[in-house]
Amino acid sequence: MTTDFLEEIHAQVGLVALRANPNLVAPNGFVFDGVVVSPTPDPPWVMVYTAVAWPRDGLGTSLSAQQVTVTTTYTCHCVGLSTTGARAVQMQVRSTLLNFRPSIAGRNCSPIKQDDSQVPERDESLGRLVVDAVSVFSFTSTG
Amino acid sequence: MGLRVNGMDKWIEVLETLPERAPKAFADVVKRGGVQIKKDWQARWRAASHPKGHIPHLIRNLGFDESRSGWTFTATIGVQSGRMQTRLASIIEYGSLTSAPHPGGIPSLEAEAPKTEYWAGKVAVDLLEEAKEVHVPVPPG
Repeated sequence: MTTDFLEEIHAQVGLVALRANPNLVAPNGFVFDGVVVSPTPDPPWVMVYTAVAWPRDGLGTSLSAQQVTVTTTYTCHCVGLSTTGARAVQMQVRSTLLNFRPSIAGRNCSPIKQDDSQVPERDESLGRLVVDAVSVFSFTSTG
Repeated sequence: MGLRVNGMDKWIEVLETLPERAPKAFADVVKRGGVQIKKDWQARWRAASHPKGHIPHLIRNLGFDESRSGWTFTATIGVQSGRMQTRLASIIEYGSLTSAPHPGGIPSLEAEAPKTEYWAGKVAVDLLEEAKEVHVPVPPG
C-alpha cells in the first residue's frame, strides 16, 4: 500500500487555480470546497463539489489491464445576487479552469474541459435568496 | 489489349446494397448506445438513492428518444419534464448549495462512448464485407 494522496492532489489543483484568481477571493469573493461557511457570506462566491474517480473501462484501463486514469470533476456552483452576478462568477470560473492544464508530479494531465453549463436558478436553501449557476468541468490524468 | 476483372462483381453488389443496409445498422448502433446510457444512468441514481428509494418516479422517468436527420443518427437521453419528481433531476445531477451532486448522465455517456465507437467500427466493416443485413444486439430499453 502506498500513501500517494492522489485524490487530494487532483481535487486541490482546480481549487488552488480558482483561489489564484483575485476576482474570486476575498475581498472580491470566496471559493468554497463543498461546504459554505456559516454565516453565509454575501455573494459573489463559488462552491465547488469535487469528485475524483478511477473509471473502469475505455480510457481508464491500460493495455496491461491496470486502472491508471483518474477523472476529476469540478461541479462549480457560481453564486451571485442576480443572474448577471451568477454569470459573472461563471465567467471567472471558466476563464480560470477552461483549457488550463494542471501539473501533477508523475501524472500526465489533460487540459480542463467544460462538460456542462446550466441556466442560473434561484436558490433559497441557505436561508436567503441567491442565484446559482452551475458549470461542470473535468480533466483526466494518467500515470 | 484489354482489361479483365475477376471477383469484383460480388463486391460491387456489396457496395450497391449499402444504402439499404447501412442506415438500419447504424441507427441500431446509436440506439444500443442510448439504451445502455439510460440503464447505466438509472443504475447510478439507484445506487445513490436510499435503498428503499427516494426517487423511484424520477428513475422510472429517465427515457431516451432516437431521431435521424440525413446520415446523422441521434439518441437523446434524459428525464421527461412535467412528470413526477422530474424537478428533482437537476438537484440530484448537479447538487444544490446544501447537497452534493450525484452525476449520472455524463459518467454514463463517457463510459458508453468507447463501446459505441467499437460497434460503429464493427458494423462498418461488416457492411463492407458481405451483402447481408448487419444486426446489432440492442438490449430491451
